[in-house]
Amino acid sequence: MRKLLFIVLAALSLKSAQVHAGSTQTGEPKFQPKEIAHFAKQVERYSAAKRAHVFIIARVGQPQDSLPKGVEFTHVALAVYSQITMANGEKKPGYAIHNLYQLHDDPAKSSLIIDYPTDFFWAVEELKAGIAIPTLAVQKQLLDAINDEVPKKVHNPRYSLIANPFNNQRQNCTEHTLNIINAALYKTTDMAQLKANTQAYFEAQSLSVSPFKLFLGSVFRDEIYKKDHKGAVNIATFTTIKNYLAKHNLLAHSAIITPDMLLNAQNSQEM
Amino acid sequence: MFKQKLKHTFTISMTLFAMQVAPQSIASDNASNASHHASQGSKYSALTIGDSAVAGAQVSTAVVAVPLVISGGLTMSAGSASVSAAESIMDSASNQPLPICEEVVIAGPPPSASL
Repeated sequence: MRKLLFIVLAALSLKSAQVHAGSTQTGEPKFQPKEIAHFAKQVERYSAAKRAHVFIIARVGQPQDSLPKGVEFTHVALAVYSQITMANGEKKPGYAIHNLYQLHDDPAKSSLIIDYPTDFFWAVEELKAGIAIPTLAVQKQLLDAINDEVPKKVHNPRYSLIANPFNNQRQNCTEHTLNIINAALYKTTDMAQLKANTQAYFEAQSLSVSPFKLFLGSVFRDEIYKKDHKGAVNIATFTTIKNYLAKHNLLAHSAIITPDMLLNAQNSQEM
Repeated sequence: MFKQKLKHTFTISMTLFAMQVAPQSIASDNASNASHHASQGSKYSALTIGDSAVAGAQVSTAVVAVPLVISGGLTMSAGSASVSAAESIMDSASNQPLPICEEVVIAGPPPSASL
């Protein structure tokens, strides 16, 4: 029996190590650092050309063919046009990215971390960004909310990869982003009110993963929590947030940015 | 005895099976921790040294970022009464792109690293 227990524990710890290696932002970059930095700067310039002061930004951290149907991006955050103070004291304009990141050593927990476009795209699977720029009026409210520390006020550090956006039992990066947007729009951080409004107006993405897989995931991985869902698992995604803004006339512009897309845009401008 | 062995085999099989089918497909890439921050040093090196280095741009480590808020047609640094030269062209009615620095900016190490 002791031998059996050892095998099971060894197998589980091996699995745990694999999960962490596959889910960290710290992994080896899959592209040349200069390519990543160049792409990140291009995303900044594209957004700056649209005069976006704050917008929703998304990246792809997993192979596209391994993602469930309807899920195109794996991490969502807010990019905020900022005055950045460098280590040498110089102040420069650029985008800072306000993230909710899952903790590596405690996967059922998260923290709020600001990083920058090159950090954001460092370990991506594809050089691809989703951006959704709200209308100027919404951007102003989002900036007011950020300055009022609303991101902290609507943060629930209990993390689930498949958090239900309609309640506050667990939270992931996408739900947190949606919370900030709604808190800014409704000028409240009252979670019951925010969730009631989300229930009334937000259309989540139904997750097409087999119930058996989800059950096993919830058993073997701390960050997969299913009890906050009743019946089907519905999650917030970059696309559902973009659609939510568009449906309510709160979206100014959206795009999927890739190197090819940028090249085509450049060529069409030159023609 | 045979029953017990069968039970053990079944448990191991189920464990290994579960490991294979647990939903890796919805795995997050959101993780962040001390090692993430510790890796900022190697990220800086990768961006500045050798063939992978960015050419023609300085790599800078950020200390703090203050949102530039849109206020009365002008964008100002939050909590600041002054408008810098760079900010003075940020009228919300303007069509000009917002200025973006040439530097490649990366986050610095966590506060704990300074202890």
